[in-house]
Order: sequence, then structure tokens, then C-alpha cells
Amino acid sequence: MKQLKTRQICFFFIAFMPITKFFMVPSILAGQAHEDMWICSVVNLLLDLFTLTALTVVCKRENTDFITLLKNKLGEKGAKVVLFIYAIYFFTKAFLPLQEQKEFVKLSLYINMPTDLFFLPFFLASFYLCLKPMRVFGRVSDVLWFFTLSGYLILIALSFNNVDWTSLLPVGARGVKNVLKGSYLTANWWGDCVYLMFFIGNFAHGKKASLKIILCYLLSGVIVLFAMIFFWGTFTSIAFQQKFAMTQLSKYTTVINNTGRFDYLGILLILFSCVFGLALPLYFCSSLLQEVFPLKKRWIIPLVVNVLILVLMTALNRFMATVTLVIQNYLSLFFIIMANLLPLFTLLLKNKEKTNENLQT
Amino acid sequence: MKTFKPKIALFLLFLISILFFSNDFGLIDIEKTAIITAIAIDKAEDGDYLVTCQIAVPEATGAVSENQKAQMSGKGSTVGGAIKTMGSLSGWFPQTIFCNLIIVGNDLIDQDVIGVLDYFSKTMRVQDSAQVVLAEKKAKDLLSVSTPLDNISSFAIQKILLKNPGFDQDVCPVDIKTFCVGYYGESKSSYMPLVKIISAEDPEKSGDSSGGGSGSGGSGSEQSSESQGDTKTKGTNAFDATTTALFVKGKKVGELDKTLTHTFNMITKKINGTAFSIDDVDGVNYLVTVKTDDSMTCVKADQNQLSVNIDINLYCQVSDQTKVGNSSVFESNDVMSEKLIAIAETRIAQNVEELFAVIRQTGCDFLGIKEKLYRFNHKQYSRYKDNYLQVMDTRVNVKLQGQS
Repeated sequence: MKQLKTRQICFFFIAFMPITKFFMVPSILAGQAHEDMWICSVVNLLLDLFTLTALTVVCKRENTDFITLLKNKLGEKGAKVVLFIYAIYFFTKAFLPLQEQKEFVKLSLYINMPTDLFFLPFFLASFYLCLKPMRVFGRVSDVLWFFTLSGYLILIALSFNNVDWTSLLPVGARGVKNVLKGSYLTANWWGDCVYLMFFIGNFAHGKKASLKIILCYLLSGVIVLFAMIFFWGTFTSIAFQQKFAMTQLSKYTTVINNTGRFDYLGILLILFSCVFGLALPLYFCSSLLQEVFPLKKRWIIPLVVNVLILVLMTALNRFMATVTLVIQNYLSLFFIIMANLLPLFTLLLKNKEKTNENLQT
Repeated sequence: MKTFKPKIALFLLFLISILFFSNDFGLIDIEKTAIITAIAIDKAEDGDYLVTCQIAVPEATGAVSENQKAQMSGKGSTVGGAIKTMGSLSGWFPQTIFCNLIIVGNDLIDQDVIGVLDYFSKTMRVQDSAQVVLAEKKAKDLLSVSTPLDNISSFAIQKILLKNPGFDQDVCPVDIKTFCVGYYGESKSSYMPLVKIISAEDPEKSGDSSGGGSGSGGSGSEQSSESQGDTKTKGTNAFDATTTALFVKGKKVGELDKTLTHTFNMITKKINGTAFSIDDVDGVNYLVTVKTDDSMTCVKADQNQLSVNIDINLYCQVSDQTKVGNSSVFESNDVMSEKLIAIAETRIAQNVEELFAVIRQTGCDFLGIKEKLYRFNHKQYSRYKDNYLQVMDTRVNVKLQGQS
């Protein structure tokens, strides 16, 4: 019995892929590529789609999970090295989105300065999720795609009238260099296609499953692109100053001026999906470390991972601007390699038993 | 027992979600929260910022008196610092999220005003949709004035800035976002209404508004119920915001008077319902109401020339005249004579030419010509970006239609 269904994989990408890109990413891109910011995201999306397509080929071909495939190819130790590197990747991938989320909650939901531990509930939830099997994310995806889409549509609908569509012109005037730099700087937030690598062999590959998954990922990407376009169209030349895009998009609607910030309903729906979306890299980090260091008490590694990232976030809070710059400028290449390049090598991984069977026949 | 554990876990998860999403730990006692409705920023004698906040003091309804206001000031080397000082001195938490009006003092216009407004643009504590105005003198003065209909001056100013459809669009309102977009945009130009205190009883200033017809009645009746009780506290002043202050790189460079502000609105937004006077047409004065406004600014550039075309298409109706009209019915669609149309078109065209003259003279590109050059004629942008004000060829085409 497979843990996940194709439907859940599709919903997984719709629910979790766009949400992390709604916060700091738009302002980073606006600062780099101005009206061409959405093209930066197109580049990231195309990269992800390329990797995703390659992974769907493996998904279709193999009935064994990624870790077993890796062990068959590289042996126990080699596989552990790769898994450990991926655990580090997921840990670093989680850091900035978590930090921005923490900042966002602090600034938008709290009137005054809360205690440093105000974000602790997230880590309790994350710890709980890390203890669960993979199918839990499949189940929540069945529900949360609706939360993500509803929240998104509320915010987009409210901001529609305020968008200056002509501000997207001229297309491509900022040059290839700025577009590629923008894509590079935001690589941390992209690369969600890598999750499919760990779903290999864990879901029933039904009819046209590959096409469905690719289309759903494309839909998630289009959602992000529209968010970028709406963001630039709303703020144009001051977009680079608007650190948290989602709360800013809808507030200029006349309805809101008259009735109050009911757009927070949409924001809270997205935030709810974010709890699970942000726990995802920590979940995979814990799972992979569990494979590398198989402990009988399965709660130890999730606890260590969650406590470690909480401690790091608290300790580095003062230097967050520097940390953000370092991650964006120096670790982005690492993110691209891990999320877009290395997964392509899964095409070379083949199930040993299957190969033996083929040899015998 | 099997289902008990997951239930407990779900319940705990639910509790955690509440803790995460709710603001229980961030709430401040309402009795210690100052709800700021307007912020006035002046320059202190020592060069610091003097920030004065108008604070709404909620009172039980049912009493004959209106909500009372309070004012507090704080000083600091930055605007944010001054607001914090005010909170520290009073012990009240300055809640600025309800602040819908920022008043900039006249003594700040010589410096880059973005130093004042950028704080509001970046912070999430103040809505970017708050209106920005320039005070004729001290910003603080505007907060102390009461009008005959409003005890709280910021509410009165907001009423003249943000008018409902049907009122005259005789003011160029601007919010923090729009001002900053202009500042950081290609032309570095922005504008904001200049608010003057006028006497409410002076017929020259208060009686001029021709658009009061349909709208002001409703507003007046709404306000009258509030103001019946306590007329002693009511002031005799009103506010005029029909002048527009122009800024380049954050410094004030000029003004648009009432007529030019009206023409500017005609070009940049739909002014349906706005009335304007056309005096002395064969000795008769007319009040003409714009029913539909379809105006467009088009910038075209090639290697040889840069042309700016403004097309103004209006469908108007005579609302009043100083002679007996064709019909005695109020708001009838009286015939607009060809002469009246011709004179109106000529005067509007003259006003538009005057707007261009102001743009050239001040360098404030409030029509966004450079922005249009950048967006729609990008290939020629580098050719004209530095001298477009000097070389642009302007064409104005005004077409006014009415009942004939």
C-alpha cells in the first residue's frame, strides 16, 4: 500500500509551493529587477519544471523509493553521505522562510514587541509533524490546497482594481543580468520540485500521473507569477520597500477603507497553510537524518532539528540582515545544485531487482 | 484508547494554532492605547521633528456631546523617534494603524520631505493609504481647528479630500503610497493638497463650491444630528484644499491653483459629477456639470520628436445659468449653445497649456510624461530622458459635447 496518491501530490504542490514566495521574495525581486521581477520567477519556474519532468520519468519507471534506489546504486555508506547532504540542504532551506514568517507574524499580528519565544508554538507543531509518516502531508494537502487558493483569491480579488498594468512595461528592459541575479537571489525559496524525489516509489503512479503533477506544479508557478505581477502593479517604484507583500496587496481597496481589514481572513488562511509548508523542509531533514543515524527513539532527531533551528534563529536574530545576505549571495548556488541539478541524476538510478530480472529474461 | 491519543494530539494542535494566530499575548489594554487619527509633523526650533498627534477619545454614545479629541506632541530627530517619545512621555501606546491623515508642516518643504514620509511608507504600523497634505503654515495648527460641522479636524479634512461620487473632484488627494511612488518613480515628481484654514462664514471662500448641490445636502444632514447638542465647541473655520503643492525630489517647487487643480483632475481621473463655471458668455454665467469624462494623455516619441497629446472628451450639462433656461425643471438638460461649447473648449485648452507651462517651469512632471516615455517608448527613453521637458511638443485637443 503506497503512502500517497497522485491527487495528493498534485494538491501538495498547490498547497505548499506558492505560499512561501508571498512574503519577502517579491520585494527582493523588485529591488533587483524592477518591472522584470516576474521574469526572474519564470526562470526559477522553468528550472523547477525541467527537474520535475525528469523526476516524473523516474516516478513512472520505479516502484522503489528514492532511498532504496540510492542505496542500490551507491551502497549504504554512499547513500548516507548523499542523504546527509540533503538533510543539510533542507535545514538551510528552512531557515530564511522561517525567519521571514516569524518577522511577518511579529509585525502584522502583534501590536507591540512580543517575547522571543512567541514563535515557539510553530516549532511544537513542526516537531509533532516531524514524528508523523509522510502520508500526513498527503492528507493535509487534500484540505490545505483549498486554504491556499481561497486566501490567495481573496487577496488578489481585493487588489485587482489597484493594479497599474502599464507599470509592467517595458518588458525585459532591465537586462538579462538583473533577471538572472534576481532568480539566483531567490533560489532559496524555489526548488520545491526536489520533494518529488522523495515521493518516488511512495505514491501510486496512476494514469497520466506525470502530466497531472507537472500541470499542478505549473499552476502553482502561475499563481506565484500572478502574485508577482499584482505586487509590482500595485507598488511599482516603491515595491522594493514593501517587505511583506501579502499584507500590503489588498489594503488599498476602497471596501477595506470603509469596512476594515477583512482581507486578514485571506492572510490567515495562507498563514495556516504556511505552518505545514514551513514544517516540510524540517520534516525531510529529520527523516533523512533518521536514515543516516537510525535511532530507536524516533523523537530524538526531530526534537534536535527543531530545537537547533529555533536556537539558531534566536541567536542569529541580531545579525539577520547579514545572514540573509550570506544565504542569498553564497548559498543560492548550493540550493540550485541540490534542488535542480542533483535530482537529474536520479534518472541514472535503477532498481537492482528490476535490473537482475531484466538480465535473467 | 486508540482514537484517544490522536484526539488529544489534534486538540493540542488546535490550541497551538490559536496561540500562533491569535494576538492574545500582544494585546495592550485599551485604556492605555491612544488611537491616533492624524499626525502633524513640523520642524522644531532646534531642527528636530515635532510630531503632534490627534487622538480620538471614545465616549459613551447617547450623550449629546460628540467624541472628544486630545492632542499630544513628541520631539525627535526622526519621525518614528518623535512618535515613540510621545508614547514614552504619556505612557499611552500610540496606536497609529487608524491614522488616516498625515499633515506636513510648511517649514519642512525646503528639505527632502521623503525623510518625513518614508517612515510611514515602510512601517506596517501606519496604513500606506493614509492621506498626505501640506499645511499652509504649521501642521499643528490644522489639528487645533474645529469646523462648524466637525469637532475633530482630521475628520473634516478627510471629508474634503475623499469625496463620494457626485461631489466636485476639486482636490487632488494623495496617499502615502502614491506620493512615494511618484518620488521613487522615473520623474521624481509628486504632489499633495495644500490645506488652508479659511473662514466658514466668508462667502468668497466657502460659497464658491458649485458642486455642493447634490452632495452637500446629504452630508449636512448627517452631521447636523451630531452637532445639534453642543454648538458652543464648534469653530467658525473650514478647510480649503483646492490648491495642489508640487514636489520634485521631495522639495516643493510650485503650486497649482484651484483652476489648474481642476484641469489636472480632468486629465488624470474621471471627474464625472464635477461642476465648473463658465462666466461671461454674452453676459451670462453658466454652471456646467461634467457627466462623462474620457480624457487621455498619450506620449509618442521617435528619433525626430517627442509629442505629448492630451485628448479631453467631455459630455456636459448646464446645471445653472444666470438667465431663464429652456426648461424650468431643475437639472434639465438645457441646450448648450455652440458659442458656450467653443468658449468652454478654449478655456479648458488654455488651462491645459498653462499646466504644461507649470511643468516646464517647475520641472515637476505631475502628468507622468517621463514615466510614459519609459514605459511606452522605451527605445527613445535614453534620447529624451534628460531634456524631455524642453523638447516635448504638446498638443491639446478638447472636445466638449452637450445637449444641442
